[in-house]
Amino acid sequence: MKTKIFVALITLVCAVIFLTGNASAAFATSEAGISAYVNVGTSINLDQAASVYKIIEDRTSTYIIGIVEVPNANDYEQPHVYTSSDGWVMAYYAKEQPRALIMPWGQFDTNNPDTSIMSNTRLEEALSGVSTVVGVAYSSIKPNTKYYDFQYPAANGLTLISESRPNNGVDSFRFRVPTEYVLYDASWEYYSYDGCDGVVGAGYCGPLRSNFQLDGNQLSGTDGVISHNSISDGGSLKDERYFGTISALTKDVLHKGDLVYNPISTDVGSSSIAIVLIYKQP
Amino acid sequence: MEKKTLNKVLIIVVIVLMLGVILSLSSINSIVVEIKPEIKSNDSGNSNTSVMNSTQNTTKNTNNMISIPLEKPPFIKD
Repeated sequence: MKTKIFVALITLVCAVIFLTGNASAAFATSEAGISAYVNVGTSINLDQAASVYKIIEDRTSTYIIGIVEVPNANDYEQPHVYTSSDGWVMAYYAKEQPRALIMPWGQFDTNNPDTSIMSNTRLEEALSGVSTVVGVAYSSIKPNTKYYDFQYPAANGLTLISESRPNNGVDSFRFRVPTEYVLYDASWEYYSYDGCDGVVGAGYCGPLRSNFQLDGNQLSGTDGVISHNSISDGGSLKDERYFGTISALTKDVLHKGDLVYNPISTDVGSSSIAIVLIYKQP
Repeated sequence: MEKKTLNKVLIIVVIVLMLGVILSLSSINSIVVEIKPEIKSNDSGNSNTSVMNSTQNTTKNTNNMISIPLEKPPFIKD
């Protein structure tokens, strides 16, 4: 009898360990989309890590999930972060959110942006926030940062394309996705600063003057594109952003992007676009 | 089957299960692959034309293009 009880207890312990180990997989595959993760190289004091969270959505004895604020991002653009006491930290956007939200607009000069100086994506900014608060300089672990899209487990690559226009006019570029690639997801975020200086009124600024067009179609409100919200600076709409997904992007075709910046009065501010592709490369 | 034999079999099964769990947990931190995203920029400032093949990392006159490999986190189990 004693032996049977012992065996039953051991089996129960094993089952608990097994199920606990898989708890993180459950939330990630059902909730997460594009993700960036890194191991800080040491165990993490969750009380210490919790101090960097703006919102804690879930907490157990082994992990925290919540929102960690990144610079120049509205509520929709703030990433979720999973921090585990064993040292793993993963920042992610929800599966339904555009992958292009990883573009960190806050890192660039709003009047003369140069996106080539980008140091970290928004997801890496969130990882940096957690690693810093637990005493690990993110610069020392950044090379170990990796990415994954939980909704496209077969995808093996992400490409981020960005362009900016600091003065009145149009910048154009072209890109092509080869036939042999499997394209899972294409998304975009448009960012404009002072695109309609001096004009008040939503619907007139931004999209109608400064905008981004893909193959001649303005992305905001274009068929096949889901657009979301924007944020404003007072009543003059100085800081605008629009984002969404591109439902169909024909492969083996050279697609043309036109970035328009057309300020109404003084030629300050800028217009920028980021496109993110998730694919499987043969 | 005798009671003693049954107990012995059960104990062996439990030991095998425990070994499996221990091995599984110990492998979680074993995969570390360095990723250095390739960044290419040929910023012309106000370019009018550019050509980019998203698969070959070739850019002309675009502000920035980054290609990053995607890899499943080792701490996530199937």
